[in-house]
Amino acid sequence: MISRSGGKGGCSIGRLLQTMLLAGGIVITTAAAGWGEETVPPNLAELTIEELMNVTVYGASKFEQKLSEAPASVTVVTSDEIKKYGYRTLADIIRGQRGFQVSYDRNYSYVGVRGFGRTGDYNSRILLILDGHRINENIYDSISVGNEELLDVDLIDRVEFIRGAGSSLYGNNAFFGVINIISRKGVDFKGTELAGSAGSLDSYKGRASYGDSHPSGLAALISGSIYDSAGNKRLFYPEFNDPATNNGVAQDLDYERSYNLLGTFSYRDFTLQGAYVGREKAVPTASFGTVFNDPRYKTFDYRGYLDLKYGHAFGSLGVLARLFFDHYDYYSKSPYDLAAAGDPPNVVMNRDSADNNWWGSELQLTRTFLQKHRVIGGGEYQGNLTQRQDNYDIDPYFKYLDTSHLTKKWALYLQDEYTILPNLVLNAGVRYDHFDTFGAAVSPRAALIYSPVDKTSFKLIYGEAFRAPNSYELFYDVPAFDQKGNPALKPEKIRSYELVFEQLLGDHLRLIVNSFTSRIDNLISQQTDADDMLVFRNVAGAETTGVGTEIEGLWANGFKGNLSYTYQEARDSDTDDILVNSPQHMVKGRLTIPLVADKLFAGPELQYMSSRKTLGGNKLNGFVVANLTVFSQKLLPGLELSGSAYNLFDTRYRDPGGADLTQDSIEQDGRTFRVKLTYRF
Amino acid sequence: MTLLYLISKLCGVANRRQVTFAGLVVLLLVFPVLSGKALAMDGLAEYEVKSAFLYNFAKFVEWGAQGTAGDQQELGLCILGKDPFGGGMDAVKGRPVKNRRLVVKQINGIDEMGQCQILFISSSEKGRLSEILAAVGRSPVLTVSDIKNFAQTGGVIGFVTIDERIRFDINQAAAERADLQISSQLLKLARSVVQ
Repeated sequence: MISRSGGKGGCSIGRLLQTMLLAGGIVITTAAAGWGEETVPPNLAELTIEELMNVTVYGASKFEQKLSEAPASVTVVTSDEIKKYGYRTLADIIRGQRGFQVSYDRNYSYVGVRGFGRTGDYNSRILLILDGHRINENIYDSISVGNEELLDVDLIDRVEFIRGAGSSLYGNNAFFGVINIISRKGVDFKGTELAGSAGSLDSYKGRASYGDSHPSGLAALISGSIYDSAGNKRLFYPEFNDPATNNGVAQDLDYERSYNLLGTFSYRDFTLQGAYVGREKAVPTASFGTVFNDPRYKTFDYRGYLDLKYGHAFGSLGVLARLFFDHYDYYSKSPYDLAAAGDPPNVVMNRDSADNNWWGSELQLTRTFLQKHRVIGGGEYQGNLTQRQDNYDIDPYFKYLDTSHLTKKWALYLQDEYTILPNLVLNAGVRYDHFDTFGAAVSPRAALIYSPVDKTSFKLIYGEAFRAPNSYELFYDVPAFDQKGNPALKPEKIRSYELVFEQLLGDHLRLIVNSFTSRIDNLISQQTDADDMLVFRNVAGAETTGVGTEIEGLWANGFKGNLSYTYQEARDSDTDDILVNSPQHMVKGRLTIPLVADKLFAGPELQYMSSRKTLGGNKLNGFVVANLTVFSQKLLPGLELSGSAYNLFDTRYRDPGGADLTQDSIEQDGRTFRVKLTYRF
Repeated sequence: MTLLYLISKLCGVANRRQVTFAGLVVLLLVFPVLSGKALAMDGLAEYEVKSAFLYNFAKFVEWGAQGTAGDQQELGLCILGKDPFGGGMDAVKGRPVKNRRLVVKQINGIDEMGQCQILFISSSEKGRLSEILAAVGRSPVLTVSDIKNFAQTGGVIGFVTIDERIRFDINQAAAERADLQISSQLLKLARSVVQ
């Protein structure tokens, strides 16, 4: 592969935007026309309930009231969109969201938001919640969004993107936002569902799910998925273009295998859920100074949990209790050449791992007082059972690190949604977190939500959030690697002001404008000490300011669309420079176009990201990526068939790499295809 | 084709593939308009469908003696709060059910509930829901709403929208409190039945 600057020469951002808006305008007009010409619907009163249950509806309730009342800017992606846009992973879903970005280094995917996408950080400034269960693990506090993510995206009912500081309710990691996933349950299946897909780069995926519910209140869902991709056969990295390193070609080193399991069982007020994912990925980039083009370099990630939930309403008192056990295990097998310069190679395999288990419990009470105060109060406890990091050479055996620091944390929180006037709500809350590593963190948030007229709402929000120093930053202490831990780290802190304006335009369009300005202090950054050792310190700061605009439309015939533009400036507090991996402009658009009513849909997507700086001080060109999915359902009963093209124009683009990479940036995949078949019976 | 031209103009050097794609998009947009007549059965206004559900519910519910005491000619379907149906009730208004005529009324408070066999609580009343359900108490009324978790909070039938289709939850205990008998056929179709 020859690297050339991104495929997008002449389109300036302004022009692109103009074009997209214009296209949007045309879309809206044609859609409205389409609806207007519709034939008179059949007399619904003559249909049976079974028939009614099969009618698809599009209504104002899609724009749930809840969204405009939430003390944040919230957008939602539904299972329907996941099918119609051919989303394969959570990363695919996130890429389409206003203000979010995802970069990939051929091992892990990294989520950036509000211009903050610092390389080398493992997604610890976003909280991921699955059915109310916290997914961020307890060593790196990371979330996974690629194939190493817990839930097969086919099993997602909806994903809520809640932007802004959310620690007042959710605690650690709810720094820039919360991604809240609600899974499909047994009642949504009522039978068996089989799915299979095949795609470019020899990628195959299969899934079997069974779900049902019984009038007694018993419901169950079990599902298993398996994925296998050969990846790119040859990846060329000019940085390694030397006969000694296979002329820069990483051969058959992009493969990936994963499997997911999910079980959700509920009986009346109780729900028991278990989820598990395992993934193996070959690493073609020779990251962390390993030997290039060595097929033994792989990472393995395993994440799982068991969660028992009880929810009941005692009159006006809502009670939610939860008891859970979590597991996270990561290891890598990495080839290192220990020979001195000039000597023949002496490659030794090294194993780096984190093995973790923890349990926790949670109690949340909700009650409305005097009809004006909806109060949520609760507490959480998390105790770690295993929290171990170790590192050794396999043969000859040599131990570099074996550290176990069992930490625990607890928290209390209270939030009041005070309806001052029918159209004016004050949402105020505070949370106190206690970590035995650094002490206390207090996170307040206040939001004033004003709806002067029925379809308009304004939200003014101030919030503080934190990210606790993780075990890796605190305790990864290996003098042989010139790296030491720093148990004195304090949490990172963000203070954020936001203004959200939401407007329903007629029955079909929703407009959101969300401006924000945040100040981040005590950012944890890796430094080199006087003794030449790498160490994490609370030294950096950043400011991020921006505005996002989004227009969402849906029409009765199944036509849907979404167009967003984000302008953001994320700067280093000391140097005032724009941060690494921080695009200033992002434009995203997607459409669902019914080709044959309720049976055949086209789902084009367009995503633009402006130029980004790399760690090496280079500038990566902005780029546009387009995806197109054609989705069909009901051609035969229970059958869904889709075909997708990702990166349809074969745009060449690159993502910035982290400090662990010799490469300053990593070229991304060109055009790929996938076909998928789902059968329900 | 104007759009195509425009895009190629705007982008100057424009990539031909992109223009082709744009053309594709335009075609796709125009297609559903041309085939507009085909868009009949599906994608109906949510509340038209819900009104048909309400009418159907009436067929599958038996009211106790007290519930059918009033006017013998009418079956009252009352809407409490802001009316989301618009003209959506027209299709079911006046239709026969259980040898009566379905009458649709808009009421402003629970004290006007006298002639209601079915009470639809609009989502505008979300904030006052517990108050309303307390006021309804053991009255022989079939309460229906699309407020979230309605059946779980003590209403009889709660609408839920899943995958753009309408489903409903039934609260058996609430039905029994109101002296309503819900046919097993309806229970079978419910997404979940709260005991």
